Order: sequence, then C-alpha cells, then structure tokens
Amino acid sequence: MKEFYLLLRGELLKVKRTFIFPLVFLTPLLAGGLSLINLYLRYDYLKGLEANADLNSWQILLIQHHFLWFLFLPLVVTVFASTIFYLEYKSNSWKNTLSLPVAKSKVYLAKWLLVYMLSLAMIGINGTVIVLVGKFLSFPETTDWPLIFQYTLNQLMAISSLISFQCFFSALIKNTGISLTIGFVGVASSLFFAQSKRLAELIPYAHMLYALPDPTIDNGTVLSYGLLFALFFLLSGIICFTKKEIA
Amino acid sequence: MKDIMEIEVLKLKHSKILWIVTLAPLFMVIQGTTNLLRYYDLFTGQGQNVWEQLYTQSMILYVSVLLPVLISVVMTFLARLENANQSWKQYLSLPVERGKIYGAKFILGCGLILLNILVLILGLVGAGKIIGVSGAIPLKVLLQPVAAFVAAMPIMALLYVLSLKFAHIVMPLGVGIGLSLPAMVVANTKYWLIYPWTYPIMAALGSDFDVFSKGSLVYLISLILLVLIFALGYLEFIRRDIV
Repeated sequence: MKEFYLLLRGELLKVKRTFIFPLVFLTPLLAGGLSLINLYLRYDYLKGLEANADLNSWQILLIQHHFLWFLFLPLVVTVFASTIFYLEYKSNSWKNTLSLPVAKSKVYLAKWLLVYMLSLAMIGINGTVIVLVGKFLSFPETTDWPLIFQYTLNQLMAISSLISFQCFFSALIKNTGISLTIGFVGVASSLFFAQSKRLAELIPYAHMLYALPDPTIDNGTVLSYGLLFALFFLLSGIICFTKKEIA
Repeated sequence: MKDIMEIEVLKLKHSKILWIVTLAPLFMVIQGTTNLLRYYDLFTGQGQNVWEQLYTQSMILYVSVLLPVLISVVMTFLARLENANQSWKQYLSLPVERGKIYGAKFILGCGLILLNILVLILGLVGAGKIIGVSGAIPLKVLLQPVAAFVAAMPIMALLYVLSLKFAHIVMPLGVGIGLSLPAMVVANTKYWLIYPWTYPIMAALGSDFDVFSKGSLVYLISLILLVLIFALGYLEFIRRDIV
C-alpha cells in the first residue's frame, strides 16, 4: 500500500509544475463565470419559459450550466489522461519507471487514479462554483443541496468511463495527438450519441450528458453502463499495459 | 524557405497527423448526415434546401468544438516534433534563418488545417451524393468552410506561438480548449465581435445567426490579429535562447 502511495505521490510530482493544476481550477471557474453571465442577463426570460414553469432557479441554473460543462469536463479530462502518459514518452522515462521494483499494473493504476483525482477536484470545485453562482444571483429558493449532490455523484459515475477509456488509449498509443483526437472527436460527437439511449449506453463520451439529474430521464441505466465501462477499460488497460513492450 | 518546407513536410511523413486531420472531419460529416436522415422530416419538412441542412448538421459541432481543438492539436504537434526529441538546439544551430523555420512551420500548420477543411467539404459533397440529395450544391457548402478557415487564422497564430513558447503540451491545449468553448455562448450575443474565437463559427454559420451583420469586418480584424500575433511570436522566436 505504501508502495502505491509513493507511486501516486511520484505521479503528482511529475505534474506539479505543469499547467494541469491551473486547469483544474480555471475550467470550473470559467464555466461558472459563463453560467453566471448567462443567468444574470437571462434569468427572467428563462424563468418565464413555459418549459421551465415547474423548475426552481437551481434546476434552471444546473440545466444551463450543464450544457457547457458536459463539453468542458470531458475535453479537459482527455487532456489530463493524454498528458500524464505523454510525460513518460516525452522524457523517455518509461524504461526508468518500469525498471523500478513495482508491478506494472500499479504504475498504470497510479496514473489512472491521478486522472480520477484531478477530475474529482474539478467536479468538486464545479459544485462549489454552482452554489456560489446561485448565491450571487440571490435565488429566491434556498440552496437545493440534494440536487447539487446528485449532480456531483452522477458526474463521478459518468466521467469514470471516459477516464478509463482515454487512459487505455493514451497508454496504448505512443502518439499523443491520436489519443487526444480520439477524445476530442468523441466529445464533439457526444451530443449526437446521446440522442439514442442505446448508443449513449455503449459510448463513454455520451455518459456525461446523462449526469444532469432529471426525473423525466432514466439516468440510472446509462450511468450504470458508465461504471461498467470504467471497470472494463480499466482492467483492459492494466492487462494491455502489463503486456506492452517498452523499448 | 523551400528547402525548410520540404524538410518540415518530410518530418510529417511517418507521423499520424495526416490521418488525424483527414479522418476527424469525415467523422463529423457522418454524424451530421446520420442526424439529418434521422430527423429528415423535421429538417426538410418546410421545403428547406437539403444540401444546406446537411451542411448545418455537420458544421454546428465541427466549427464550434472540433475545429478549434484540432487547431490546438495540430499546432502542438508541430512544436512537439522538436520539443519531444529536444531537437530545437540542433535545429536552430544549423545555418538557417530562424525566421524561415518559424514561417515554414506556421505555413505547414495552416496547410494541415486547410486540408482538414477541404476534406470536410469533399465529405459533405460525397455524403450528399451518397444519400441522394438532388439539386445544385449551394455555394455556401463550398465556400463558407473556407471562410471559417480564414476567420480562424488569428487562433492558429496564437496557438502556434503558444506551442513554440511552451514545451509542455498542456498550455496550448488548455488555452485552445478554454477559449473555444465560451465561443458557443458568446456567438449568440451581440458581443461576438470582441471575441475572435467566435469568428469561425460566425463565418461558417453566420447566416443562421441574426447578429451577423458585420461579416466583412471579421475578415479585416482576423487579418490584423493574424499579422500582430504572428509578428510578436516571430520577434520572440528569433530572440529566444535555446537551452
């Protein structure tokens, strides 16, 4: 266990002086800032829409915010996954890393966990930013904590499949451009995939769209697929990485 | 300059960047075509031009999300060729003018993006023929993607400069993504003109927006920004120490 902790700490040190940490903070702040401007300018209009008649202000904020965040989070997570593996390729340090007396599977798992932790931090900051935006706009209703917690939990489930998927490609393909492009094309097409429930279940890029709590949509099934795919690609990644020859 | 261009092209020979720039837009065309077929009655029920609907369905996400992030990937990739092998020192110690290296790489980067756009146009025409869209192909389908390319020139220049300046890929990628996503929101407001990341969106889909009344100004601002950013990057590049 201590060995794994040291590996994880080593991974954190590798990204310490990169732009990754500022991205963790700036991405939710940027998305939150845009939602703030959006609702500041259009709150009355949105509140007056017939489609929003039964929604409270927090639900409206979350819907508006989600249609930015479902692109922001997966795109940035794609960059994280690619970068963390790219760092080894860039400095030709795979040989050194893998010649350490630790199992390859632990090395892979530490990298996966780091991406997950960074995503977790982003999701946490995003939740905080949403609450602050609502407070700033002085919504008449009290903070809808169950909604915010449900949204946070859904995101944690939805993003896990994408993390496993992107880590799998980033470890397998030496060329970072390819793993990044696969991710970017996937995220750009996620809205299209999400239109079909069957496709949405099977394609990790679409899972994030189902993170928005909505009683009229069956989020649970898609998000369960998210966890299933996360586990599947995590195990596939570990197996492929363990067998991979590092020259 | 010609020799340097040839060398730069040679470096790409066994890279996957050509696959990336050609396959990515085709995927968006497939997605747009599938979406059009799926909601055919909705999109064409009131006698709308089918070519234009095919164009819009394929372009919305391409120009708003994929194009700006692909620009980041391409520009980062060109700089990474030197950064990854730490070959800047060797390259810049050769008896070649730094300015020519700087210019050649940028032209190549723009060329790759243009190739991406041309594949998109060919993909749109091909998809239209495959699904049997009748009638003449509107000029919009052929020209507006090129207009988006021109409007995206300042973005290309900025991300190119950042990619050369920062050896780490996260910086140009982060800036590229971070600044491109708000463009979707800003493009729907009257303030779009002050945010250059909206220019490709407005150039490609401008006729679908009510606020696109200053179209020609976009190209002028794009040109000025391109020259300005390119010149600043050039000055930085020729003066920088390579350690």
